[in-house]
Amino acid sequence: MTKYKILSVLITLTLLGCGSKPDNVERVASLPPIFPDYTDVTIPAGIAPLNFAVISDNADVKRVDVTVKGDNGYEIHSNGEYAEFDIDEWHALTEANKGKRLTVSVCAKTDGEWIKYDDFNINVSSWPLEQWGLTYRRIAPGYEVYSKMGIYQRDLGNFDEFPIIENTMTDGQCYNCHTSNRTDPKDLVFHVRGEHGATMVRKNGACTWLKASSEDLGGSMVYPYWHPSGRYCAFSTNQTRQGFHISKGKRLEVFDISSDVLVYDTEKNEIILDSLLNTKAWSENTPSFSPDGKWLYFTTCYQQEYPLKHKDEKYNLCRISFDENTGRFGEKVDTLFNAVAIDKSVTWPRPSYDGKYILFTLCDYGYFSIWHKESDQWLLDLDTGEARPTDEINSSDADSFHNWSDNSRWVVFTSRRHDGLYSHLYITGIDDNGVFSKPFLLPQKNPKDYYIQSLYSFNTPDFTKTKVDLDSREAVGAILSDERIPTKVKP
Amino acid sequence: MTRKNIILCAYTIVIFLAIWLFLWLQCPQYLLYHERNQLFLFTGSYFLHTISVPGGMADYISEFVVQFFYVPVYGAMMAALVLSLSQLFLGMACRRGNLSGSAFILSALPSLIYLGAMSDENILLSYAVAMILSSLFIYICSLFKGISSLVCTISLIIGFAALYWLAGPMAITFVIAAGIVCRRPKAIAIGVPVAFAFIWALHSIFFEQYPLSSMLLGINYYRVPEIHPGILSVIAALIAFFPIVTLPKIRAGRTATYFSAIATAAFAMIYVPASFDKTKSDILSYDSLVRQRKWTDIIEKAQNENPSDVFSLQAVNLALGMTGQLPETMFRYSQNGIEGLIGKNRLDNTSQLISAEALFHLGLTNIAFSKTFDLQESIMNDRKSGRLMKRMAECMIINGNYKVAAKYLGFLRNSLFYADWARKAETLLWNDNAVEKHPAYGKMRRNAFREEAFYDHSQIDKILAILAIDSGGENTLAWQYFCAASMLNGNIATLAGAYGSPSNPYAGLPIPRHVQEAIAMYWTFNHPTFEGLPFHLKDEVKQQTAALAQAVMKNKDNPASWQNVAPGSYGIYFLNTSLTRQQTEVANEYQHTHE
Repeated sequence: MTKYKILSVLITLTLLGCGSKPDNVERVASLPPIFPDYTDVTIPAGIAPLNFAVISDNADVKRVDVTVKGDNGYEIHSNGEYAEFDIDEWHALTEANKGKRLTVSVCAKTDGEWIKYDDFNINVSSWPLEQWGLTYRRIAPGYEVYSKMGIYQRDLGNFDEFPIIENTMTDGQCYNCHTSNRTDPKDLVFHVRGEHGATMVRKNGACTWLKASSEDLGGSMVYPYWHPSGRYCAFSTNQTRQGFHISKGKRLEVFDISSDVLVYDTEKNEIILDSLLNTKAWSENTPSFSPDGKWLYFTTCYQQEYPLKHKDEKYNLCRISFDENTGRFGEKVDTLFNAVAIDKSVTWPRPSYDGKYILFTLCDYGYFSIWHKESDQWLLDLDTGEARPTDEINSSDADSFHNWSDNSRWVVFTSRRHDGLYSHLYITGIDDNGVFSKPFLLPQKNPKDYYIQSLYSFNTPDFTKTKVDLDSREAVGAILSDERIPTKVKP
Repeated sequence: MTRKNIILCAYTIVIFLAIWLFLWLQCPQYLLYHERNQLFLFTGSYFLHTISVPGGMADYISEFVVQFFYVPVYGAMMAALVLSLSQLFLGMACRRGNLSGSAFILSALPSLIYLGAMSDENILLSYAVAMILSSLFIYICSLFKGISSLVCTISLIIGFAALYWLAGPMAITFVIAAGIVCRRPKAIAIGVPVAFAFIWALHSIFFEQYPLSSMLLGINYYRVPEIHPGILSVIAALIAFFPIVTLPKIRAGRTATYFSAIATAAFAMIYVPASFDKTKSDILSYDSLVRQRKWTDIIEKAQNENPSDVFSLQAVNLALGMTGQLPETMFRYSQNGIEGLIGKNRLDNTSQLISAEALFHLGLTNIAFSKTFDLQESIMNDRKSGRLMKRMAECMIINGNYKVAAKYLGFLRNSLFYADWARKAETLLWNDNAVEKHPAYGKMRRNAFREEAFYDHSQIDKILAILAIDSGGENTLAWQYFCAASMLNGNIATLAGAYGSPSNPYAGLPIPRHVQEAIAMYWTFNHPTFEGLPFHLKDEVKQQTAALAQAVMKNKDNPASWQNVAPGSYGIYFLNTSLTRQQTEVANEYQHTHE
């Protein structure tokens, strides 16, 4: 028995030694160098834990010891190679501190010495997220070829990711532009490109596979956006071309040799065209409906000679009225934001669902902003008509595609701020004054390993109210069957 | 060890040595091809990711082995070890089943057929590793020969489930072969349907992202998804039913042993070499030589046999350029237009390799990066490539995109053969001075293309001219490529103009042989003699051009008669391609100028 006791004591001592708690701590008057940078970010309660690593340029960080305390009480602790918090404890902490601050104390062990950095705060918003998670496409930021890619969904309360559809299922097809109706995936659309091309329109859970392109349309159905009624879905018909920059600094350019905007009536399987949205001299692009369904926002630019004058391709933000009862457009187009006047170009207009704002991306020219380092987010206040660059969330690299949460309190957007090539997802909250909080990188269980080892870009992100329940086997069968329903143009 | 066992071991050693020598000496290019289509990493996440699919352990072991293909002598040894072990386990399993010596010899057939199948460069070593694992399981099962049908059935099903996860659908061969070795046909009759049901269930519950056919025929036995070459099924069937030779009724004697040995040797010597296609071998060979920067070897190879395809020609032209003799000797080889210099985009994992190499050496790092990136993305089984990632990191270092370079170097640091290079390259990150002083990268950074323009393959000669001239005379490779592109495109006037331009930093250099030929021919179009020619051309060139002109005049309808007048000269290339492309237009113009 004595033998076992000695053994137990030895094991306990060994474990205590391995636990490596901070002692003889040296204080450093600076914020901890953490990845991702979660200092002073604002998060919704119930989000997945903001795990992070401490990264030092000068020394290997062997261990971190992190304590997170809420203003309203509750404290959690992590000790390990990186800060990893228990999901349930984190949820309890954030729920208990809605509208309050969390104070994060970080100690790191480098070269055998413990260092304690200045504490930093994480703000827990009083506004809930009210979304199950995110949907996004994950694909290597390539040029003309892609290997594995797919559309995925991510539970924002934890780290679980599920494929909605992957190209390994269907002989390497490309999937893009997945869009749900105001974050509700009961109405869903996405495109299949390549040999088995199609546009999948799911309405109340029933899928229709439309012919991918049509001569009547002058192209494919691209960049969808649902009408709030769920009856209509707007598309543009971009006939895209690519150009590859020879000199460093820029890589890729995407431009359209033509594009129009149309609305697809899901009940009648009809395409609604309008002369104001199908002009020869102008390219109409990136449509979206206002939350009341009475307006169709879109961007438009004077058709240029490509690729020679691609830098003159500058889009303005416009709108036209839409009557959902008759499926007819109004007779005039309003310019909401004249980007041409400031020698810029608008893309990806996304109205907030509360009708207050339109968030769009502004770049020097063109509309494929993810390849434009200068791309920034701008916010148009629909009450005042004033637009401003949202400097509080912009970076020195490309900040691009975005979408609002259902309650219009959160925005997810893509950014290349981390390394200039691979797009990652950032989430930010907006306050009553239309000011965004510091965005935070989509949390991962081990973010350093995840993001450093990921060779994929995340793009076209959107929130999703519920988990997308697409029957992928049925979808694959439909894709491979090549049975497509042709659309007809409304007379 | 008995004398018989010693002989059998010696047989396996002979198999090992034969395969080793064959792969090392005859097929190093295939080994390098495999190596450049994967990047084995010594990280936990790589291990977990790889083994997360059925057959993942075979993939992991295979990729571990394939990384040694970087050095073909070691790689060939490792591959030979895999194939000879597969033979040994299968032979031993059957030996437990009272196998005669003749059958032990024949147990090499699956490995030899696989060796021949390696001529399909997309058949992965995972399959060979799965063969070992399956043979090992069969051998282990053979150790328990006296077990009841029930125990045998349960063992086969459990063994199948484990082996399916480790080695993939090759596990079905285990169920059949082990059942035969144990003489338990009922176990096979139950085990095989259960195995298929197991695969179906696994697919339905966990692996919907893969087609059922891949679950049944292998997710990663072949580099291209959803393609399952028939030869692999032949090998699997051979392993599955090979133990039939252990059945007492068909056991053979000593004569059969000798016959088996002769038949196996003959099979190995005839079938295996005949499986390898020469054109493909040449292409892969040129690629491996370019990768190793063995420029003189490439030229020697081309001198022995003119390259017969565009890819090989690009390699030869690059080698000529790297040794400074492109516009001097390029028309000694069968040229094939601008495509033989730099190819148009083709979306596979090979066609653009040499073009990407050339673009990199030329200093067009942005385009080299895009092509290399796409080449890596074209690896159909979603693997990354050490070779390509290294090149991408180089491009990013030269371009000053250090964060992306650091990302790639982080991967390479966890590999075996790229780690040292990656650590050295890391010292260049965020250190512009060090990059600028680097003998290769510094020059490329200095000579980078500065104008904002899109890459247009049809305008490559203009791009090369700007690149060469803007470098102030430093980028001689770009100048050689410009000369070559101009000649291949037939833009002799532009080329002559460039050599005559006082602002051209290369104008003062000796005019290369083929450029002289081009200028002489251009002059001949418009002048009856070489008098007044503003360039110093060799007399020999002038004489040859004049003779060619006369020969064309005399026999304008008989191109065969000109070919020996100026063999290996630009004039012959120009006239032949003009004839092909422009039919009689050029000939008429030539005649007109001499009337």
